Amino acid sequence: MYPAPFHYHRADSLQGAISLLSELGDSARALAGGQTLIVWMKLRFDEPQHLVDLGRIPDLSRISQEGDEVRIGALATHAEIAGSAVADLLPIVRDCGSGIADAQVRSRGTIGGALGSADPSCDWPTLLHTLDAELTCTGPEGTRTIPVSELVEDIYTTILKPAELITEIRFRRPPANSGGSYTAFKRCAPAYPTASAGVQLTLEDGDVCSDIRIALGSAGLKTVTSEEAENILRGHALTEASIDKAAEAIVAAAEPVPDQRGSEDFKRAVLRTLVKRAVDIAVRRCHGETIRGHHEYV
Amino acid sequence: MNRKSSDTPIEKTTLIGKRVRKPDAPDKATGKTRYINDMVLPQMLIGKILHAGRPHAEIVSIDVSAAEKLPGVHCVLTGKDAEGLRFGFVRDNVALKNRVRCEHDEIAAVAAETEEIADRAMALITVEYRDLPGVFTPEDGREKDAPQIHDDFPDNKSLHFEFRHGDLAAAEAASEIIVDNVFRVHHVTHCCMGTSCAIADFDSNGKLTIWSQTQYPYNYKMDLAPALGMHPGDIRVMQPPVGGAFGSKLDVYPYEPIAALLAKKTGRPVKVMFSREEEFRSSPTRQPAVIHMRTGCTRNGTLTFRSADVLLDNGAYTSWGPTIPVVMMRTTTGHYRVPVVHFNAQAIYTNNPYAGSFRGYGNVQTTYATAQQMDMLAEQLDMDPIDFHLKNAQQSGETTPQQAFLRECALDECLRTAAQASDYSAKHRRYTLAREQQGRYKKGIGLASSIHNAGGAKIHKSDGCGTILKVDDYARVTVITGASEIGQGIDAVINLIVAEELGIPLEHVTIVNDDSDIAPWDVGVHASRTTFIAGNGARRAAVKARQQILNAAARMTEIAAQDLDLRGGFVVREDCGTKVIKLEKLLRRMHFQPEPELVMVTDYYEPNSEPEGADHRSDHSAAYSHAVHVAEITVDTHTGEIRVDRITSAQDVGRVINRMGLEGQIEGGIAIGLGYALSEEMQLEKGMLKNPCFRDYKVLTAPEMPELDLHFIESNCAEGPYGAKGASELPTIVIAPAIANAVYNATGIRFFNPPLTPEKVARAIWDRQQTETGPSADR
Repeated sequence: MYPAPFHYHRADSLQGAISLLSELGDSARALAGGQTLIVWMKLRFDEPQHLVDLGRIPDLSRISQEGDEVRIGALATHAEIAGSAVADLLPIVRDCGSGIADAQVRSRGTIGGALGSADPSCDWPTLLHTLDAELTCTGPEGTRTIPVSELVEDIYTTILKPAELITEIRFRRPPANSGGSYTAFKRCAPAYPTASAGVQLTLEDGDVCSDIRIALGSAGLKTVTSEEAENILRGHALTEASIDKAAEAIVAAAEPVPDQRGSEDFKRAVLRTLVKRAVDIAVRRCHGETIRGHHEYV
Repeated sequence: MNRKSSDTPIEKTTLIGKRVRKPDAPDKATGKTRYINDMVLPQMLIGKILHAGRPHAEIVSIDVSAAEKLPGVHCVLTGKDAEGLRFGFVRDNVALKNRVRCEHDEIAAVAAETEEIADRAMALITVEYRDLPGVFTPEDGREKDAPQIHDDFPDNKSLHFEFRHGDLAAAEAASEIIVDNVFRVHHVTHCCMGTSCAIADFDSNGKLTIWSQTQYPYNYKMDLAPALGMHPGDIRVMQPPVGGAFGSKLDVYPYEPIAALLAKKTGRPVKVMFSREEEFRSSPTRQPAVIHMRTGCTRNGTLTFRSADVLLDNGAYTSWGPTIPVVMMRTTTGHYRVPVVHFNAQAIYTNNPYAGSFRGYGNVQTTYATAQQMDMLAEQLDMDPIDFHLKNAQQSGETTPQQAFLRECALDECLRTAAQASDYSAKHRRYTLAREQQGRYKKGIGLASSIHNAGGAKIHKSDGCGTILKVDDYARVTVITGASEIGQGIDAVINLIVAEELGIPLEHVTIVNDDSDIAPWDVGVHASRTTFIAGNGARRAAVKARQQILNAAARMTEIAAQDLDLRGGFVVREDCGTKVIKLEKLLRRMHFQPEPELVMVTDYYEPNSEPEGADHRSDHSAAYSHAVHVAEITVDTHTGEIRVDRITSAQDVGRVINRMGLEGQIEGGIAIGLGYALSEEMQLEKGMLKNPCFRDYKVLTAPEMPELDLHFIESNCAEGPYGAKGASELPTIVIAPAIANAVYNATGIRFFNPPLTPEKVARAIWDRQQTETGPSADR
């Protein structure tokens, strides 16, 4: 279980990393924490000849809020995000960040790395879909903004161009009458989720859901969303029946892959449960309840 | 007048039952311990093994020439280098194979300067295989035209065990209720944190020193010798600290003779250490079994008979694991008062990974069946399970059909304690009624009990342990014991016992038990025997030393020895605790007198048990004990998730010696048992392991441990040290059926095949909903 031999390069600036990656071409990979990449290399799923370590590039891990905009540097670690003021403000962020893998992985792995891996089992992409996040990306041709929903083309494949790097994640802070919840169903801490669900919703006049985003992780080859499911709930008072119907609709859009973590129909049953659980917690948070969210280990 | 503090009398106190930390705990907690895996010897080479990676095949050709030429490679060995060197319980194994019988079979081995070079050399070895059809279940292995795995074991039959007591047909006829079920228990492995490792080195006289993780150093020499064509006397076994064993180091496995063969060939020390993936693929497993059990009783709830037909998946070779039916039949015959018992077990060779011994040793498998059948019978009788258990519980003085004499039997006290502490009967009734009501979450409570040997097990010619104890001029004591420390805590027990007898601080005792050339015979860490056997040995040695010291003190002080005691590093007067002389001063006087005397004693303790005979009728342990667990759980009927809310354990421990160590053993045993019940499973597909990593093989971790309520029942065993009995295996044995009974109480569904994973439980609940309400039922 050792990776194939490779050359290690440490980038000291963003431009330096981009030039080096351009120069080295297809045989190089950007290392942004390595909690996915190194595992792949050990399993020989990937045998890059060069690793360009982004870890020492300054200012890429800043987490800030300006007005109603939240900005997270791509090299912020899971632990840094889970422990940040943003997580205090948005419990859904803490739900997600504090449950990723184990403490060691949370201290090394980064949000940008998780997005760049395009692995549908990663937690952040699912969460960021519920917040309609945008990604700032910089490459040899300059800087552009990509909605998170457009980043992933297919499993393990992004639309990023050669040597293009995600540098920052930005999203609007949800309004005060909004609440969110993220929950994952996992065998144990170091494992990827069997299935996960994130919900961010806004309530007006008591129980009328004025806006909602739902996203599922480990539910197909990409993060799963469903306008149909959201439309069932958007603009209406939430009822048990409508939540059931919306859960049914998004689970119908999912295409979970049977594997050692479960068969397809078991995963659908778990997803259905997770959506309902996440909606329930999100609603209670809208109403001002303090609820500690967590991943379920089973 | 102020009395000097040194004149203060010393009161009599005792360490027995106190919480004492293990001597190795601070080093382990701070990362200072140097495990065998950390060891590096000068000139040491790294050995690596090429595994077959296919379950059943002939080797057409093997070419190692390119590997041999790689700079840094010192030697490459193949099957021809181990030909004829058969080892194993029935001599069906060799270190390096000429034919493949399971996935991890060792085909070639390399010794090289570094791990990287060894890995590169492995990649240069080319092997041509001709795959053969395989056998992957014991049922298939029994078929007439099944592929034969070993030429000299016809019909794939490995070991067979049978025991009959009483007239089964008559007992069945006299039974008013009979339960009849087939239980299938699965493959699990030990998951030691320290992966398997051996370092071998030969001296110029041909004597082998092997640093090993073994838990039975003396028989290990006997078992290793034939794999090397050596005399056992020419092997010295060193035992550095290990990261867990749990039964997995109770045999010789091929990597050990391979390390020695490489060392012999190269003339250099060679270390072989498994990666985690190798550890999953190549370690022994707990023996999977298909258990067809029938148990009967009369309408008034008296047990009438039990029969068990057991088919065991031997795997490709016969390690100690397939001898587990010896223990299985004892549970089958001794778990409650069952007058008529028939037991039949057949181990069948398959092309699966092969089983070894694992904490619980067969009893885990059978108790999964017996304890659930007790629950089923109670339900059919419409009796409170506790009343049914109590009605059939043995009492002190009874003898089982296999002639186990239950001298001090505390089963009924265990049952009453566990039931009372958990409010078992009321909750059991309440949850049974609530089963039919609506609701996503269902609560359940389940009880299980078992019996296990607790005073050794005389399965060898000897079940003894030697002890050498010396006291130096500074009153520091060294105990050289045959008993191995593999993390279970025997060093702390011996430390406590010796400090108790000699009235010295715990820190003044050193235990030496890591070198077979120094320490005397012991049969090994197994059968929950070490506290009982080695504890007795240490106590007897300490009492001899104590007597020698008191006799010397009596001669010098003219106070009779029986009026003296050893307390706080002093010889004191027994009645009032007044100090007579400082112990180290006395020892120096003894040493530096005209007729000098050193305190240096030996003891050999052999328990008064009977050897396990061919007819399996013997009182083979010096003590037996029982444990009762009550599991309280919540089932999420939507996802099948089982949350274990609380475990109440009542176990007859004889007497508590080191309370903290005992708590650790029971808690650790419960953790292993919970993993077996809920999540751990080697997923094999045609003999190939699909989940050789902790990501996919789920061991429970600390946050998943339930609340534990431990009750130690002290039955004061006459033969045990201070009354103690062995304790380590029972907690692992009773937990899975307690969980299964609780899940039945919650859902009304029986699970005959652990582990009870969320998907398995959810599917069973959906299936039942479908049969009840049709296929449109809401999942």
